[in-house]
Amino acid sequence: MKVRVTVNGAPYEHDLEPRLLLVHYLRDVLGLTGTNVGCDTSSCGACTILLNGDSVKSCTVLAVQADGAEVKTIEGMAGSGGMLHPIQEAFSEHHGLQCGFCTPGMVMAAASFLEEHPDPTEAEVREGLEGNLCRCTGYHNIVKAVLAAARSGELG
Amino acid sequence: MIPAKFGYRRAGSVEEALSNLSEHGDEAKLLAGGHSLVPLMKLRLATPSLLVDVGRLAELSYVRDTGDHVEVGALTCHRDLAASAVARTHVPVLAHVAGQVGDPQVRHRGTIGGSIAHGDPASDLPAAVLALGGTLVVRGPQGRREIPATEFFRGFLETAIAPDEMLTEVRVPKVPGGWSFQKLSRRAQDWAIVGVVAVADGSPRVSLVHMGSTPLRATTVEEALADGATVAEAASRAGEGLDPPSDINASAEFRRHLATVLVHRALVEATGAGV
Amino acid sequence: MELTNQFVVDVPVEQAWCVLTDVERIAPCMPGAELQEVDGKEYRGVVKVKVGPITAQYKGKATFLEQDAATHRAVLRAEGRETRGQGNATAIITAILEPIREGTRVSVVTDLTVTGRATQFGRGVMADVSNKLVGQFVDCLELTVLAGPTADEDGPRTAEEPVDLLEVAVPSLLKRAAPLVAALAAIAITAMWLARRKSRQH
Repeated sequence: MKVRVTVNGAPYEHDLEPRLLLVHYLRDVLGLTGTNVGCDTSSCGACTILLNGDSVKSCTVLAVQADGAEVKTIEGMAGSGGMLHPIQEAFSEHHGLQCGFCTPGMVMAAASFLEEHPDPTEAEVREGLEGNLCRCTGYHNIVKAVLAAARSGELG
Repeated sequence: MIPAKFGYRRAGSVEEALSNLSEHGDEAKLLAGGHSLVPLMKLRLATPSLLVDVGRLAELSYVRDTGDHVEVGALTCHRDLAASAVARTHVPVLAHVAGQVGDPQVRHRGTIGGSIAHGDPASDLPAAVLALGGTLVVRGPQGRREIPATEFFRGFLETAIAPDEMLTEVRVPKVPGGWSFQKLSRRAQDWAIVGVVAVADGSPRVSLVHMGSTPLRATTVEEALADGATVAEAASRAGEGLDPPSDINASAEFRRHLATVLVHRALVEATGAGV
Repeated sequence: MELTNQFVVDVPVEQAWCVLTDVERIAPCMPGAELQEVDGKEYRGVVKVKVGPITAQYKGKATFLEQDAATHRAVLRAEGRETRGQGNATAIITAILEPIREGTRVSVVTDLTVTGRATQFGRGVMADVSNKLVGQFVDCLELTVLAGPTADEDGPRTAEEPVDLLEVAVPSLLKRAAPLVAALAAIAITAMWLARRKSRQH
């Protein structure tokens, strides 16, 4: 069926099977492979993107459910000329990643979280990122990065 | 993992959803947030031939104060219920439990109607509605009916909703008194290994998450309290007569033990009792 | 794992034995089961199970290892494979009929072995669903076959008969299909619980 989605500001229209998962639409149809499939069972959050501004696990959403919606993926975070988003900048500066597999999902989850909680405590950041699992870092630097981004004053 | 093929229709109204269900019988399933159904479909444990998407029925997303009750539309997502001023003021246990379901991403999509209609004993909101003595409003071709939560959960993943009906509203009484929600899970997105909802409204009501094939009222505990037992004595009986599951996370024995511990904590918090 | 089911019917043991060995009469009461062929001593069929949104279909066969009309004891070996290839299971089902004051007690013990993903799961729900299916079977029996000598002797089933989940062409002797069905149904549920352990709260 016909599905129209705006992804990172660009409109797309495709004829899709209802069973196509949003993550597969983004990766395989649109070629936006920044979003990762981790567990595929709705736990790890590596597939997190923003759907109408809210973080969601795109492996658990059907592409048809996103019809008419606005989607933002990790590819949509950097500004023009490749300027990193403040959250990305903070992850880089505070070593908030090692292998990087969870990172796109972490950044998107953090973006949604900071939108709802612009001035969080450390505990709130830890809770706010509960939907994202990392096997490498032990989370410590991820939390530091998110707090730094919150305090940077650069978030819109 | 990829679901098996299915047809998809978006319902523009409850009537449209109902007529799709009538037409296709139990080969059709309603899709709300999809966070109970889609994972099952990805594992191909559920293979409905038609999904009727009711996720855009904004008229079913509300939290309303109706005097001595709070009415929650079935399509209210957990994030909205947790944030609702009406819910936080008048039935805070429900708002709190909604805020503990899964994780933020899940709460952005999952709905109270979806959770309750799915009827998983390991879900938090069914137990909360049970402890609150809530009522489920269901609509079908024969009209509207109201089902008390105590009669609603019939078995594992089985509720009183008929294949041609749709849950449209959850109604709970306002709770002025103490309450508590205790949930033990290793990670936020895991089901509770065991969970307890306690509502101190007169004689306390206690319900259990993941202690059987439906959400359960801890009647042994409630009766003990009504007979004058201390919370410690009552809580120690929480596992009696129950047959909780054994699985990769916990044995039945551990669950029975956990129930006594969590019921105790819940009762202490809900009733303000010292011990 | 071991599952036990028990039910009482209010007819004497010999009559219960006769009824329960008359597959043509009891087969319509077996929830979700269909006997497709009998090949010598082997009974082959499919069982459809539905629990909430989860459906499973098992293709299986069963043979009697033991049938003793004197002691009213039968042992059935059943094997099933999920048609979508998610698991398989074997059950040894022992059924014993005993005369009691109220009539006959039928005791069924199912020794269930599952392989593959299903090994990760627990028995509580299996037992529950198993009980439910046996309950449906017995309710149906009591309303029809056991309701009285003339209740169903002639003609097609009446409108108020419950459970018409299957069409059966039944030669003979799937008499312990109820526990078979229950066991296979219970097997079906294993996959579901496995799903729970693999996937998380949503």
